[in-house]
Amino acid sequence: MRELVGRTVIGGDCRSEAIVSRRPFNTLASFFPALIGNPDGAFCADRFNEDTFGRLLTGLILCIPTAVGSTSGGAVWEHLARLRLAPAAVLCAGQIDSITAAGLAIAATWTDYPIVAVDELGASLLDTFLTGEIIAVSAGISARVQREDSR
Amino acid sequence: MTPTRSTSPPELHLTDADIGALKGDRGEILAAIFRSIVLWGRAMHATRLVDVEGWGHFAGSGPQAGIGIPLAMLKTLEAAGLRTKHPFTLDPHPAIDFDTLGLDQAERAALSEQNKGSDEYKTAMLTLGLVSVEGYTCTPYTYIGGNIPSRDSMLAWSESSAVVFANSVLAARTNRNAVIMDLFCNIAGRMPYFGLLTDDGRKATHVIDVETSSLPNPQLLGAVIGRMVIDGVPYIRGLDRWIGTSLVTKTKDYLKEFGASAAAIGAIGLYHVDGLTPEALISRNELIIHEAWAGSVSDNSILEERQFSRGSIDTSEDVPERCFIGCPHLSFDEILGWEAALTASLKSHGRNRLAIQTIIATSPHVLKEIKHTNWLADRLESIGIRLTPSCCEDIMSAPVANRRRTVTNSVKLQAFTSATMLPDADLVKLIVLGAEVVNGR
Repeated sequence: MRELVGRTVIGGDCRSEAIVSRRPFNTLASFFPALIGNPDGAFCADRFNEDTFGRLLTGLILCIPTAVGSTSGGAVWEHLARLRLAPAAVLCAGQIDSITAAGLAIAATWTDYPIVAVDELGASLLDTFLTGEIIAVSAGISARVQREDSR
Repeated sequence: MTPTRSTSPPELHLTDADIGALKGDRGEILAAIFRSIVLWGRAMHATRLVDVEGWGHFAGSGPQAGIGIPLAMLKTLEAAGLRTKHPFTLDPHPAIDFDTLGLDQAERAALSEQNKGSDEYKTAMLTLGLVSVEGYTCTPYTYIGGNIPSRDSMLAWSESSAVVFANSVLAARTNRNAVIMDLFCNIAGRMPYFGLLTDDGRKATHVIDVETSSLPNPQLLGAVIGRMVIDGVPYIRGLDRWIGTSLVTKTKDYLKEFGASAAAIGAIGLYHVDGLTPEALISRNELIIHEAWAGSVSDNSILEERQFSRGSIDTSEDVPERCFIGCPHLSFDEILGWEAALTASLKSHGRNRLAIQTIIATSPHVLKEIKHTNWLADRLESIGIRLTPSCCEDIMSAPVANRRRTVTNSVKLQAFTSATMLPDADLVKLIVLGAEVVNGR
């Protein structure tokens, strides 16, 4: 059974397609075009990330080791949530980085589209789930992530 | 913009006053701010909230979507009567000096659209606590009367180049805060205690020996160490050999350039320089963790960085259209240095004016100082240098501006735009001679 247990950062339940980035996820570089105009969806623009470049990120479950990049990342997450362009959930192998945690906390508090977040899932997160698989996240007092067909 | 209620209970230690604010004793908007801070603090395993003890500095200086704070949110804060506990400074104001910058019509239109609402943004920021309209600069610590925090003061800053300077050179304490959360913490006057605020978080995780045969270019050295350390805390040995053991203005300027690059290429928020920076002077042994990673920087490392990070234009074939100097903003003394270097080079080549349009970016305060120093203002103008309080990165963030062939002295500008970085001596020669250098004459 493919299931991982982690720590809830932003609570909630969701079910969607996974997209796995093995490299640290650069928030601003990935979402920059989605900040301009009124796009239908956020397509990853970070050309240095071959796992995610060019792929739709809106509504998906983003599996990452951690995130890197500008302090603007906080405002990026709020903007994506407010415009309904954000991933449904962010799953981190290690402890969530400060900028992403702040951005998701603001999105959860100030928009109607909280982005579920679970961290400390372990390095196996990036091998356990594959891009395109449907996974389910249940993040309450404890947090569980499992592949849909293993439930 | 109305905040929604989060159901996640706080788990870190809160005072009665914190709990009261969370419950809405001081208004629903401040309660939402506290909920955001508490959620973030829990995520970072913070043990408690602590007071913000000094002025703020924030990166979100304009309304550009996803880069600055949403205008609607600012207005909500303003309407709720909220103010920051201490005054604050902001990164450079969105560009409005289009003539000085020599922008064409397409660039002007793109930047005007991108920064629509910047006047309202400024008005809201002044109400919330922006110190004055002169408070727009990424280097507010470079002039007397600026934003110069005292040692050990607990701060909530963003702008990576300012954070790393405040922590390393001034020994103040701030994490790399996210845009929006920086303002929230300064309004609440409270922030989660973790990371670079703590003694343990300030210990060096890496020991780096600088073994170069001469003073390394600060921006290239920053890039090399940034790639090595990523988001760790480096303890740098051997640099005092080249820049001395006293934090005089010239040394601070060097460290400003070094830190900006290290924070842009890596995510360094704090470094210590053996024999020089405040914390390294007092507690050398206690400042390095036992299992610290060890590395070194040689002449070859600097050369490799120069080759690895070569920009998008080939300056042996293409004549650049413009040169930006001042990312981060230059100090008064740095501008004196550029004037001297360019004047000497022009004289040696029998020329009077620079061959390439050159723009130097600095703070409004330093701009005013230059205007009062008549000979310098006249001299800069006569050789063709334009001065701006704007941000080179902001200007080049407009795709149409980013297409212009641009050279710079800044690794940070190169990292985020299409600009090509050159070491100072190469840059001086190129902007003095222009096509003659490119054509190898």
